[in-house]
Amino acid sequence: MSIGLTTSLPPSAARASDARPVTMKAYLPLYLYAVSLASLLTVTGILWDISWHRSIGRDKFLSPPHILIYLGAIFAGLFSGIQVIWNSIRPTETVKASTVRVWGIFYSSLGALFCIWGAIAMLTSAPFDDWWHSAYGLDVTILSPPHTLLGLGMLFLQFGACVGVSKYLNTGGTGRKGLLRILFIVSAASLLTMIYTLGTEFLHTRGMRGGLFYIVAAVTTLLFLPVFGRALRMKWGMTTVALSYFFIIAFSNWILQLFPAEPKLGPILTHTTHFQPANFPMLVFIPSLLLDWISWSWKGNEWVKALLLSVCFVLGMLIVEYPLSGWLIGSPYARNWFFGADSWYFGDPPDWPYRYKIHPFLVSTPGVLAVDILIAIVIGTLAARLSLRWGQWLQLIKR
Amino acid sequence: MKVSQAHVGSPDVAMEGAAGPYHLLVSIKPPDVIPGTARVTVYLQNGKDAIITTQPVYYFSGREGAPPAEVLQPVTGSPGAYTGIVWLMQNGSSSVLLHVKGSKGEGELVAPIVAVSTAEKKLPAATSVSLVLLGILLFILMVTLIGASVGEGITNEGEDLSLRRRRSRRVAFAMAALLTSLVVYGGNAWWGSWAKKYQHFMFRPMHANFRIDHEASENSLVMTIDTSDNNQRRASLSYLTPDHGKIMHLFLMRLPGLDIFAHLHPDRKDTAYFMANLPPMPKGKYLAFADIVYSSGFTETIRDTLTMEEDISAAEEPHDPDDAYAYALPNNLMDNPYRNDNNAIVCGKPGKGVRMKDGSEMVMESGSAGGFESGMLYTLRFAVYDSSRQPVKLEPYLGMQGHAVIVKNDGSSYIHVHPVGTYSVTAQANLERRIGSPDKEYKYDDRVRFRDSVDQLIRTLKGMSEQERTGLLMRQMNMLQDTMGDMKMDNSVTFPYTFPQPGLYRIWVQVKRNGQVLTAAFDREVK
Repeated sequence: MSIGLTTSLPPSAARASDARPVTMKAYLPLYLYAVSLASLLTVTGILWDISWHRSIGRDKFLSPPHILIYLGAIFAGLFSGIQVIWNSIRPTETVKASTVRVWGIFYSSLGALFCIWGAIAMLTSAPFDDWWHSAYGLDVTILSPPHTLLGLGMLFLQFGACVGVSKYLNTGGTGRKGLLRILFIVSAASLLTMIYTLGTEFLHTRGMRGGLFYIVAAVTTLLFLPVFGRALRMKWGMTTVALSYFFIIAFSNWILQLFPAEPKLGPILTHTTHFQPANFPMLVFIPSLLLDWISWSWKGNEWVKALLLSVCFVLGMLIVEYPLSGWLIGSPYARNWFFGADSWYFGDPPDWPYRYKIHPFLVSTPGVLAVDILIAIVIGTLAARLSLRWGQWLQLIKR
Repeated sequence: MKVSQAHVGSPDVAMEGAAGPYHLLVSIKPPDVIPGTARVTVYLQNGKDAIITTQPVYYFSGREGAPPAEVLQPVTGSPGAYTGIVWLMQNGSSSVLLHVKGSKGEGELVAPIVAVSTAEKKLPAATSVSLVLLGILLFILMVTLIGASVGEGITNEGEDLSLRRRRSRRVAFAMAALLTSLVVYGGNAWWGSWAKKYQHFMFRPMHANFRIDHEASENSLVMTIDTSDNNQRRASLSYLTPDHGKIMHLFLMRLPGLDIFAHLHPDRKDTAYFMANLPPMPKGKYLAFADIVYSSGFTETIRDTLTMEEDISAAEEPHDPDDAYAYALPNNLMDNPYRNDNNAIVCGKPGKGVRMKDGSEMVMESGSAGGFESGMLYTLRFAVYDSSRQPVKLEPYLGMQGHAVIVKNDGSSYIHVHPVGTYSVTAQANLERRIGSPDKEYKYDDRVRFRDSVDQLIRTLKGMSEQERTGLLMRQMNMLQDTMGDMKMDNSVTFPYTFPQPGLYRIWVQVKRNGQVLTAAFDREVK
């Protein structure tokens, strides 16, 4: 049930059990590896599933991507659940001292509690979704009530993994910090990828010349990245998480398009032969370099810090993504496996006049864009301030 | 589960037809929710070791826009039977294109389907209970974990909760309960709006208002299709296309015994306004079923009731020579009130035929052993003999060997069926034309021009001699090549059909002999 990783117990716990020696064998529980992996499995499953719908069009309840997603849920739920039950059957003083007591019976780490909630929510969504399709049709919509429950479950699972690792990052001294950070980064990057995926409708390449893109990007990113930065306590923490997000999407895209897939749902207006990749990932890691720099160099007021983070992020994204979007859509050099700009949904006509240019409808005028950028900075500041506080909380996790 | 049907209560498609050299019996169970899957079963009547594939082809997007064909799997233990599913993603006129390849060569057959959402489903009790229980668990767990997040979770290992943390934990419990309740409330409202949207796009059968226009004549029936709640439906009525040469087939049956029956062909006076002269009919409340076909191949039955306050005596002749009516008497009748009227017939029952108005007798020749079961595909066979028990030669009626109307005794299920099946031959012909065209997206003709051209066609048909008209209709509906080529007109007529539910059914069969339309009625129990 546990692997032999030793960390020294913090002095507070040692005080609580005076009879024991101060340095004792403590374990990094197996469930932490399981939930980090499950975070990655579920988000990979979602990316695969979306590509499946864009390339094949129809699926069954037990399609391979669905299996991957539910396996993630079962994997995380089972490992966290067993951990809780194991702790609760004959709780030692150490267990009692280092966990949260639930309903007077169970002893669980806080992270495992989040993961269990996520796993139950994900598994609840399965029969709900199955019925939903029988009642309202075998649809291909991303945002429906059962899918939202599934998405919420995934977010809780991924966040639970972050909380679980944070406990050890906060209490574990110096030993194995590298491993803990890897586990945290995997979970945090999965969570960020999931958030961006839920916001796909606003965060796609064609939207990068409109103001709404920057508002949504600011809210979603600044609500989460500073949390991760604080919890990780790394010099380039936010950049690392953002870069990991980039690679989760990029690798999924590069791998998916290697496999054949044929549309099986009419009307088929474009005949495609392989899995269609998603949009080229956003280059969030570029403004993240600035965010990390501000984080460690600014020592003043937290509100000012939030404002700086927001300004740097929004302007950074504008400078990077605005020109990039035009190049990705228009340039023949982007139509290759690396950028995947030739990806196309089979239900759209191949000769759509705006296939290789951005529809004027999606381009904001300079005035509107300027106002939207200001709005993005204001909302981004609020999100970043909340995130910084949230990050402080994550630094406090002890159990 | 609440259900309303396009084909009233009888959504399954039963079909008999030829795919090149192969003779097929086809049964299709369309989904009651779109997007959904239709179950297709094909019974190969000749040839063997065939590979049968299916493809859903929509009128709108044509063959070019159809997904690749998929192979039907042989049904184990039932030689010659193949089955599989077809995905129907959009509402509208669709078809299942069957392709057969085997020892005799290749061939294709188009089965029209109307893809509409007709069912409103409730959560099954077991799912509902488990979802509620899981929901409660999630709710309690959420409140617990939010409380723990500001309490024990951030308390140093081994330390007790401080008073301040205890207080903030209580606040967190309350806030979490409140916020989670709000999320549940919002989720529920979202679900409600989703259900409402689904209901909005659900297929709702059209209704009609009927009245007798005394100013025109005593027996002039005026029918107005009710499109008040949907202008788009009214616009689409301009795209009606004649089926068997008629713009509408209206069937009237008197409640409660379904004893009076009339098959009429009203004239179109305006987009939603139709008129017909009634045959002599006694007063009472009647069920009315009006079948129409759109140019896209979409078929629909308008269903309503009409009440005749007094007996109708036919003041004017029916304006359509193919109109027909009959009075059906229960088969246990002791005294016949219509003794002097040759339109009165006594219903057939197992083992007993029906004496029709010209003195010939129709016998139902199938299903006597063991009766009928719902959900099974049958070929109902009827044969006609003269008074000396000799087979008679039937003539085509409306371009077919015969027509049948099958109604459940409470009127909840109704179908107008032909020897080729439960579908409209015109719909099939239109879909075949569409499948042959290379256009990806269909562009509709001008509404008014289309309606005028159809009215002109119907006038031309009316002006033809019966022989000319029958010949033209049979050619138009590909009758000679496809289905009647290998079927001679003899004394029998067959109808493939799947009874949708158990119950008592009345089967009205209409054939033509010596220029006269003959109607017979049979009662059958379905288990």
